[in-house]
Amino acid sequence: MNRASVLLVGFVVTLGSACAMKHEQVPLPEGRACPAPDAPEAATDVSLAWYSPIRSGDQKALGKWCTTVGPAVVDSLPTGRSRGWQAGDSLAVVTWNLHGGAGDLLDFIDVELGLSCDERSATPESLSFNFVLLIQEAFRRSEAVPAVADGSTVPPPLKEKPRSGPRADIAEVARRCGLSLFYVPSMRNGREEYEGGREDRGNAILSTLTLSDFIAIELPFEAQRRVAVAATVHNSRRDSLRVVSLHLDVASSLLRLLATGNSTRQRQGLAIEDALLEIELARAGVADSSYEARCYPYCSNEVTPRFNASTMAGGDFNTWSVHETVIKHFYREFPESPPHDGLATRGAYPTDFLFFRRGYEGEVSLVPDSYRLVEGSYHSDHKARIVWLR
Amino acid sequence: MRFPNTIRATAALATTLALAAGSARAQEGSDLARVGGGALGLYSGAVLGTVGSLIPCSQTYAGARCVRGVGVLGGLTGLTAGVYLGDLDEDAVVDAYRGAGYGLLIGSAAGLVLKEVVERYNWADVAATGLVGAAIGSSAKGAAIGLAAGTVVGLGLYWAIPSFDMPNAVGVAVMGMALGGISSWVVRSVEADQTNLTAQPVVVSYRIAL
Repeated sequence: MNRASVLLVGFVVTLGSACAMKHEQVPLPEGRACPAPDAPEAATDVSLAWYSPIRSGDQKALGKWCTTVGPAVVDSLPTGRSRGWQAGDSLAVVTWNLHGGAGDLLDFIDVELGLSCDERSATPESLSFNFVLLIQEAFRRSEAVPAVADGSTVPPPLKEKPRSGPRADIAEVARRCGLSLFYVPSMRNGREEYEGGREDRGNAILSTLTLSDFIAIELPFEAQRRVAVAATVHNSRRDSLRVVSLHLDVASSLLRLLATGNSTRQRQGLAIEDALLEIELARAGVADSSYEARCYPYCSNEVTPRFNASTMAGGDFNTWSVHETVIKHFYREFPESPPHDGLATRGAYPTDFLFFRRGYEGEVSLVPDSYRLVEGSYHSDHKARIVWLR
Repeated sequence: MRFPNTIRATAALATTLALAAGSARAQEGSDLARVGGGALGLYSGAVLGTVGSLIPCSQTYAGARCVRGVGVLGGLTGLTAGVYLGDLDEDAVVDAYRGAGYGLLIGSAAGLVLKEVVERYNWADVAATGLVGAAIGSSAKGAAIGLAAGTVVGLGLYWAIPSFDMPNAVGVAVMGMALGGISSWVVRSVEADQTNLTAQPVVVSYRIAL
């Protein structure tokens, strides 16, 4: 082999190794102001902690998208008087991609969870159980969503099939049902006004319980800005359950797909795992994030660290197979997750999952065999998944 | 933090230059034919290895790392076969470049169609489709045979195994195309080697006759 060939070998090996893109997350101590800091609608969300990719290229792209959406909504207290999550009570956790205004969330809450959200009679206190809804593609209509010029950072609105009934945004649903709400927009829902108001869309958490410890996790930029949201609920024994609503990208561009080896969802999923690790270490007051520090002394096995709070992470992973890399990683990081039942949630594809890991303190656990698919789609393009804890 | 982007941009530029230089010089002499064959084999093998492993590797724990590994392996195979081919048969290298050119045109045309019908399919994607077309075109015969075989195997598994879904069948078909394309580089260099070997006895017998 001549010298040119040796150089080419070096070139191809370098090319192969150079395309690994970082997924690590870092906290943003100053928070994140969306829209732009100098915009009249801007408000730095001081009540929530932000985590963002360590890679500057990601942060630059995410910053552009951030300027087009309104601020987060943090409403920690349910207005309905829930009796709280008492010892021995069950807690339902649901994950569902609403597809904007297509999914009829009011009807879903009424039929599947037994809470009628009539304007005059939202009565969570009458429920025999509490629930947490992990919502993706929720939309919010508000004057706080800024007017923007046309551009690539403004995606088109979601294509919703017309349906009967009100098209209530996520804040309206929370108000009418008396639920606590944590909503962080990821992107605009189109540039134009819709029914007289500008809209953005993103992930949300709704609950009959009080929410606390609000966290927004900006995922590495692949195709669109994605922000996973996390909050914590407690039972009467003060056991903590961190709940996470997430939505991964479908695919990046063909060029990026080839250059990175199709790492889109893998990279975003690893980023969420990394952020959750940083969060748990920060809450535990551990400054050293080395493997030894995070593992000692609460490792359930050689690789999975044990944390104080139990965690339920659910969302739309946009996977076409239950065997995808990101799902394998999540099953490893969340060892007490319910096994997959082989059923699809969007068309023929298993896109939506719930993952669980127990904290080393507390007694929150899954109700055996309670993980199931909700049969009706309630006009969304996804079916929901539900699991019960106690 | 721009280091990886810089490497990627440099790599893309170097590949393009190597392809162009190889194309222009392949006919000038055996050394340059070796470089030209090696550059095209490297490029074609790396791209085909990457494309062929996308779906199978996406179902492994290693994921993208697996794709990159197969891409490097494909590139090294193509490089070795391409250098060997350039050493033995300059015309075959020229033919491979001609095929890559046709592939580039066909791929780019397909990319333009996709740009019209697929949301968020941008100009960079059109260029990427053209470059994938060039990689396939440089080993078109093997890629076509591999695709046909992969399609048959994929559909067979799809019908025979209930848990083997359609995306997996597509993955097997694409993997077949990639394997066929990379194999065709090896096959052509082996064929060139055998042609050279079979030519020698003829020369010897001619001398004896004299």
